[in-house]
Formats: sequence, structure tokens, C-alpha cells
Amino acid sequence: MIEAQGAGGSGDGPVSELRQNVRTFRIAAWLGWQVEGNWADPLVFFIFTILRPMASALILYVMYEVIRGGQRDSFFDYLYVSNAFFMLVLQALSGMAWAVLDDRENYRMLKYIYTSPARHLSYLLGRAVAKVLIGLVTTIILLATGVLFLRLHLDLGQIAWGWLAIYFVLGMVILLSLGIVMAGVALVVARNGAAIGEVVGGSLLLFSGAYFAVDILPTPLREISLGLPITYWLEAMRRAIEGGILTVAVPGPNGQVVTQPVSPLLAQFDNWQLLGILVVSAVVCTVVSYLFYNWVENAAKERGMIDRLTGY
Amino acid sequence: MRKSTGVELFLRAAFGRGYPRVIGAQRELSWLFFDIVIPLITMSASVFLYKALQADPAYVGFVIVGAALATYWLNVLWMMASQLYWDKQAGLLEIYIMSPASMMAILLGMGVGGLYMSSLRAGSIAIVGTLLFNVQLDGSQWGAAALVFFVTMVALYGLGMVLSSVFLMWGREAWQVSLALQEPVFFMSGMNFPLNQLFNSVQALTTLVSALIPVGLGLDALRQLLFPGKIEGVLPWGWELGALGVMGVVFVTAAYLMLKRMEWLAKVEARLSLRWQ
Repeated sequence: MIEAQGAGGSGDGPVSELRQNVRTFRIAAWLGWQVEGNWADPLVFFIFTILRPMASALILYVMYEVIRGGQRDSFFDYLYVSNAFFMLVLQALSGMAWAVLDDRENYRMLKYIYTSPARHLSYLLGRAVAKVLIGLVTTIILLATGVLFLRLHLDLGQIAWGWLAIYFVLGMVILLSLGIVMAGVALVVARNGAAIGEVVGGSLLLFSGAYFAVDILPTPLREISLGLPITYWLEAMRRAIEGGILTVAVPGPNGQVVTQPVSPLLAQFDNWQLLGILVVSAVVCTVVSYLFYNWVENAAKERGMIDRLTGY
Repeated sequence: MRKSTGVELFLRAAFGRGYPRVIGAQRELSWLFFDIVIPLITMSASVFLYKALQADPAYVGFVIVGAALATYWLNVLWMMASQLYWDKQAGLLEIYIMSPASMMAILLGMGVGGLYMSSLRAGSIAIVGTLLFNVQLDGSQWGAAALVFFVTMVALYGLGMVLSSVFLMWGREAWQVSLALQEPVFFMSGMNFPLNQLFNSVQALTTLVSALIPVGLGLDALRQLLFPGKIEGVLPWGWELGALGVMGVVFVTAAYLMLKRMEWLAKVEARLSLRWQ
């Protein structure tokens, strides 16, 4: 009983509350890892984990090669690096929505989480950690494979490590906040909740300029693209990894070849401006996702959705 | 109450399993958004990539045909191969096994119902994509294209039946295998690029695997027929049609034999009602 009171931490102040959140996060992260990985031995798990993203990268590689026929320019680096980091977007967005769906529909554990002293948001974040870590490892492996086998230009000496670290952290805050929103949606929609993360991820593939510069999109789509923080995050990561703005040679007005950024629109922003955009986005996404999740959680409780089984 | 037996029982069981899929496609309209709009958006990303690379406009058509056929592959993967796993989770599998209905009839019903659902989705994607990106299709060989499509579907859903019997033995592996077979098959079957580019650039073993996926050869033959002169096929489309026909017979026969074997093994190992693992 004494231990249970200590674990509950009710009324023990902010330090105890923090301790409880950390404890929930740690256990949820362990649980998430077991759910993700304990169905196979480590080698099989690794192979299965890397198969999908590797195939996606190879599809892009062949598409590029089919058209460019062995000629290589910075557009390939743009495409490949964006795709590698986009894996993190997919994992973060789908991770928490899946945690809700899995716990509610498959393992039927969500109601027990809610009747325990576990902190719900910390639990969700913890459950997403395994997916995000898998995404991070995948990104690193994709980049390494690109350098070793696919002639991706990536010079360790040119990488802006400081910017990379800052942009990465900000990106994770934004992505996990969006993941919480996805989890909230999954909590209250009767159908298609399982697909919500992949659906938003798939849409971002078009709107974030992951495969091409947003400049070539029709105006309405371009405006949407420029309103999304992921667009700026991918640009920031490309810049940090490649050590600057990627440029390509294009025919100039007088027939001569001129060099211009792959995305002239995004090249207008320097690193500090990108940082400002990402900081503001991270703050807004965090606040909005927190408020949104609390709102839908209350709605789910009122309507008895925490333990429902849609069987969908 | 009159009892159904033999062929009548088989057909009624198949109809019963296919019915919810056909009716469900009309009652649950959220699929219009999730299964048409979203694939269109994802497909558009590949289209814009080709536009950014200043590719021949025919490549946009290749992507659209690929996206339409991808719908069928996803349906086979998630609503054929994995379906018995879902049914096990929902407690339906044991009811199928206890009933007098043939499991082949259940699979046939799943296949026909799934084909109907997928055709609505694939047709919508193809029509909207063609109009949206102004793709020029050559309809002069539509009869041959329809034949290729039909034989591809027989082979593809036959493969789905084979996979479903294999998945019967699995727990969470089934889910992981289905996930792992998505993009790799898109790659191996040339969903977004002409298949001959893959055959020219990867080793023999990989191309053999690629050739065994019906959607790859079917897609290649369809592209040859719908975009004549714009694509060099792996084989002439007639040869590919023959290969697909052989695959169809082999897969359906193998599905029958494997289903019997796997059903027996699943009973012996008590996996038919084993959930959450």
C-alpha cells in the first residue's frame, strides 16, 4: 500500500509528478519495444525493419536512373536525403496512432492503462519511442547505403553537426506533437483510425517537397506546402547534412548553363530564419497537440470510447 | 430447413463471404477518401518527381497504371493473405473451420469480394489520375489489355490464396510479413518505372523473384498495350500473358493443397484460436 501511494504520487507536488511521468515513459518505451520487436530474433527483426524503407529508396533510385541515365547531379542528393529523413516523419506520425489502436482494439489494454496511475501522454510518448528509434536507425542505414552503393554525395567533414543536432531535436518535437494529434484522432474515430498516421504521412509526401522542390507544385498546393513545418524541417536537414544549399545546373536565358538552388523558394531562407520557423512551429505544435489531446480524451471518456471495440 | 451440400454449399459459402465486402463498399463511404484521395496524393508525389526530372509524359501514365494495380496488390496482401490472421483475432476462424463450408469457398468469396472493392478503387484512381494529369492512353488494343488484366487477377488472387494458407500458421509475423511485402513488391514489380529497367540493372536471382510476382508481368504487359512504342517490355506481352496463365493455374492448385496441409498443421499445433501473439 505504501508503495502504491508512492507510485500514485497524487498530491506530492511537481517533483513527484515528474517522476511519475518519467516512470510511465520508461515503462511504455520498454513495452513499445517489446511489441515492435519480440516477435522475431534480432536478425530477422532487423531485416524486416529495413526492407520497406530500403525498397522505397531503391524505387526512387531507379526512377532517377531511368530518366537521368547514369548522370548524377545534386537533385539526387536532395531526393535521397529527403526520403531518408521522411522515414522519421512516417514512424513518428503513425507510432502513437498505432499505440492507441493496438492497445484498444488488439490487446484490449487501453482501459487498464486509464484505470492505472500511468500518465497518459507520457505513456503515448513512450510507446512511440521504439518506432522513432527504428525510424532513426533506418534513416542512418539508408544514408550509409546511399553513400556506399548508390553514389550519394555525403561528406562527413561538410556536415553542419551543430545545426543538424538543433534541427533534429526541433523536428522531433514537431513530429511527436503531430503524432499526439494523430493519437487523439485515433481515439475518437470509429473507422480508419489505424490508417490515420500513414494517411497524413502519405499526404505529406506530396506537400512537404520530399521528392521534388515545392517550386514546381501548382500555386494552391505550393501555398499548402509552404504552410507546413515539415517542409522547412526537411530543407533544414538537407542543408545540415549536405553542408549548404543544394544547387543544380540549369539552362540560362542566353543559352549558357547557370547554377541555381534545387528549390529557389526555400533557398530564400537562411539557417537562422529556418531555425526561427522551426522554433515557432515546435512551440505551436506542442501547445496545440496538448490542448487537442486533452479535449478529445475528455470527449472519448464522455462517450465511452476508451474501451470500445470497433472491430474495424 | 433444407441443407445445402456440394457445389451449392460451396457457392453459398463463397457468396456469404463475398457479400459483406461488396455491400460494405457501398455502406462505408469513408473509403472514398482513404482509398482514393490518399493514394492519388501519394501517386501525385511520384508524378511530380517525374515532372521534376523532366521525364517523357508517358512515365506519368506508367505511374498511374502502377498505382491502379498497386491497389490490387494491397488488397491481396491485407484482405486475402492476412485475412485469416484477422479472422483468428476476431474469433471467426474457428467458426469457419467448424462449419461445413469449404475453406476454398471462403477464400474464393474473399477474393471475389476483394476484387470488386479493389476494382472500384483502382478504376477511380485510374480515371481521376488520367484526367488530372492529362494522360494519353492508346485504347486500340483494349481487348488484349482486358484479357491480360483478367489473367493477372486470377494469378494475383491465386497467390493471395497461397499466402493466406501460409499466414494461417503465423501470429504477429503475419502482420510484419504483410508490411514487409508492400514496398519491396512495389520495387520488384516496377510499380513506378518500366520493369525492364529493373531487369537490366539487377542480378538474375532478383529478376526471377520479380518475374514470379504476377503484378509485375501483368503491369509490364498492360503498359505495352496501353502505351505502345513508349516502353520496351521485358518480354512480348503475349509471352507475359502465357506466363501469367501458368502462374494462375499453379497458384490456385497450390493454394488448395497448402490450405489443407496448413489447416491440419494449425489444428495439430492448436494455433487456430491462439490470439494476441
